[in-house]
Amino acid sequence: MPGSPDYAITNRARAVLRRHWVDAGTLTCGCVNGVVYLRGELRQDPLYRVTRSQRAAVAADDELALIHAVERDLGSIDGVKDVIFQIEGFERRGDHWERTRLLRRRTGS
Amino acid sequence: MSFPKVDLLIDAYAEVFGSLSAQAADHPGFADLQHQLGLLYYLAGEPGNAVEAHERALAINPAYTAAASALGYALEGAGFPERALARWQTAAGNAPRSRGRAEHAGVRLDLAMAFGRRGESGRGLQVIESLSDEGRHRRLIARERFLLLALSGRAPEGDEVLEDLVRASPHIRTYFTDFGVFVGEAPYPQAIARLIKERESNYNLADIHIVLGLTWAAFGERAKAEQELRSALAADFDLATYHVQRGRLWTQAGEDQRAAEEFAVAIAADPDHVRARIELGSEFAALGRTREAVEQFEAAADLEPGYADIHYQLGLLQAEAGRLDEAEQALTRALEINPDFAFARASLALLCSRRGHDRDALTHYQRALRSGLRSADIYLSIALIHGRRGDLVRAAEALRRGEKVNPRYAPIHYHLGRIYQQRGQKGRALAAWRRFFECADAPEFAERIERFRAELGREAMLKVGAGGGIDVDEDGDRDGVGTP
Repeated sequence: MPGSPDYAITNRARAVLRRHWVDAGTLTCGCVNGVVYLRGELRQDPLYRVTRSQRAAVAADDELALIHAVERDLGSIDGVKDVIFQIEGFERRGDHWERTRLLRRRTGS
Repeated sequence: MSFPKVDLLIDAYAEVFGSLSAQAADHPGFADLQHQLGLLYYLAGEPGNAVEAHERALAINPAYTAAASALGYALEGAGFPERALARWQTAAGNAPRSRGRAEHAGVRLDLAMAFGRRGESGRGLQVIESLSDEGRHRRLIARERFLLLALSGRAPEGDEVLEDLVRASPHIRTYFTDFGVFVGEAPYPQAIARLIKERESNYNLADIHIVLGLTWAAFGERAKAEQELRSALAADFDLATYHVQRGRLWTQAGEDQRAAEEFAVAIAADPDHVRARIELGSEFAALGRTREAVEQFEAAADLEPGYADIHYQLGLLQAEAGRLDEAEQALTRALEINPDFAFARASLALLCSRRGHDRDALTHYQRALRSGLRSADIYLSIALIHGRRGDLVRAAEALRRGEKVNPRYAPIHYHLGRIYQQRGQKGRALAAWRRFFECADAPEFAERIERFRAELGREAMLKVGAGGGIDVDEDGDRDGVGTP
């Protein structure tokens, strides 16, 4: 698709995730025809959580705030027509996100 | 054996230690977390704790060669050099060779270096000579070979090795000159003695220095981040990884050109460094240098042919560059490797659709939907294909499904309106377009819809509002089921 911005948008979307210190190991991100998709578990890199805790009180619903912030920043990328979140444990209801269930922590490898 | 001063590391060290400890508590079966904790303990001058952490890592994964290597250094630091040597000898004996090069050069290198520290440089050289000079450890191997040659009274041979090393990078040259080692000034006994005594021999520390560097970067302390990266380089002489990490710092700062320069240096240091190729390709794409981006991803795909994401990104780039046949091949290859790769599937569907391969496009879209990739846009794309083939029933069905997924996706309503218009369902068409204007900020469509309204021949009053919205005053045909 000559001139198709899907690669550029994917790159910028991944840069947004890096800026928010999203753990790339648990989330996949792609863009098809200008629509950005995020699938998996949306978590921040544990290292970032520890560094933040030294500077400010951590909000009780960090993950909800993170989803809103990431959605806002992804939607503002030039060429993005839509942002589709398929995130475990969260659901969009109207214009806000809600937690649907607590995620079980992983154990073992 | 000397340990670095902890006070220089206290902030980043504390942050990383806290994070790793918390993760290790959450994931007790993750060997790499224990290994990293061990490296931190070693760096902080706590070899006893380092031994315990590396032993925990090996208890989880006995084949973890990096942990076995690091355990040896921790044992040495804790005052058990014989146990360390025995550990390395066992690991070196067990390390497999495959694909014509030493997969586990590290453990044999540990042994060679241990012989050197014990004054058995001849034995160390015998082990070193058995190592391949390929792979990420090659400059580290060369460094140790240089030291052992110097210790064995073969300094002129060592000088040749040294010359190759310092030519590779000014950072490596600085490393040696800081210890008083200069090319052409063999045998430099005092400098060598100082180098053996003061340098950090545990090259495994490179990994934890990188983690510390990222931590400093998270604090916004770029200078300290770079210092950690230099420490990583001093530990393992992995030039390519050093420049890749420096490039990542620039990428994080939004400096794409500087990042690209670092990644290019990384590739010059190691043309087979896949991560450097991918990062450079991404930077070229960000800079609008699509052809060069494609070249880097093609090189990465040659190096790692089984990595689906590389083929996927290559496919997107080739599509952007207008190389559609190659794009289709790359996306198809990504799906051969990973048939559940939904993004690649949907991108291939889009490509097929744009090329007029409608049947293939529909097949791929349906598979993408079955894999869970669901959006109004995918249903819209399916609808457009059915519309092209004259199947308005299926097109309308797809659009209605898209509407359920996202009622506010404006293009769905626009195209529904077109279908209703073609079927002669005027009321429905106008209602759909009203919905379109409620959802969209697209004043450019107003003229087009005005034209359609004229074609419908209605006497409806269409007013385009200040925000691009439409108010429809219908002439009584409110149920939407009308006849032309």
